[in-house]
Amino acid sequence: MLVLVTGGSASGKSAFAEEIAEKIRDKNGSKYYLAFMKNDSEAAEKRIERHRKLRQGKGFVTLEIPCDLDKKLPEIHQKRCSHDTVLMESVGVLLANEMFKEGSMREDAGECVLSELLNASEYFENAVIVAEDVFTDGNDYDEYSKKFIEALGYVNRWLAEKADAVAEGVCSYPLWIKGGVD
Amino acid sequence: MELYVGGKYQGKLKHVLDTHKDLNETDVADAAVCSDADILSHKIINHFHAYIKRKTDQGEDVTDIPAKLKSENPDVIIISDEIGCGIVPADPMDSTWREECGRTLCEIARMSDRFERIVCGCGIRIK
Repeated sequence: MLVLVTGGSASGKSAFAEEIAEKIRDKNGSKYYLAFMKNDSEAAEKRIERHRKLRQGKGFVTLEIPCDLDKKLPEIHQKRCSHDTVLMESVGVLLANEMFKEGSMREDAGECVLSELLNASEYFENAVIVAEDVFTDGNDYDEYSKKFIEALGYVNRWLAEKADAVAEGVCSYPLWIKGGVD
Repeated sequence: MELYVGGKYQGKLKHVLDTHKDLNETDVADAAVCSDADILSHKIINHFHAYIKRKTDQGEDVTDIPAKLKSENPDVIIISDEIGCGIVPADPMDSTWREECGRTLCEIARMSDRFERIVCGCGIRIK
């Protein structure tokens, strides 16, 4: 099963995505947390630490892969080898990592990230993907940010199309947009 | 405690007043300008996001606000814009506000007996 969880900043989507992963997981398999955030600044470190604390004691095996998911995932997890469930966080972070990797902007980052995320979800029986909603603040941004927002919209739309269920986190509560999880 | 969130200009206050016939404009505190005492004494707190902004801009810790409201103004109705659906603001003060406002609203939603999102004046009941 593939579930997409979207939501604004600090909307409680991570905690909610963890709950979904727990609900849909096969009890015979393991729970993985695929973290895309790079630990390259004080702010990033704080966020990573906060998320680590959130996951503490919940039985996740954490894999940190900030980019090149297609290359690195096969080294640490076999394709469909078990009944494992993965929580991947987050689409916007992975996209930013791929889009601005070598100092310049990669135009095809959206397509690349979409294919990487869908491939990665194939390694597991169940996948929950967390995606940012950055689309409704009405602000005007520079060209780079506009390209990023557009690419994220593209990836989110396609993930939602492929997903069995899509939820939006609103103040820590789920609003199911497509399907649902019992 | 009740929580009503949504985008700006979605008719949140009107929706609250329409659905709470015992309340009127005199029960509303405008959190963009009112005092801390007003927050704890009024039945409706409008523009709650602006209150959080005033606090975080001054470097104040907002963690205890939900619990304080719950204990000192337990029937309060809180109305707030949703401000989290954009790119991380470049200004650290703005990003702190956005983050703290989101977390505070998560906590208030959990404490609330009723929680709705307002879109084009229509309430979607989430809790």
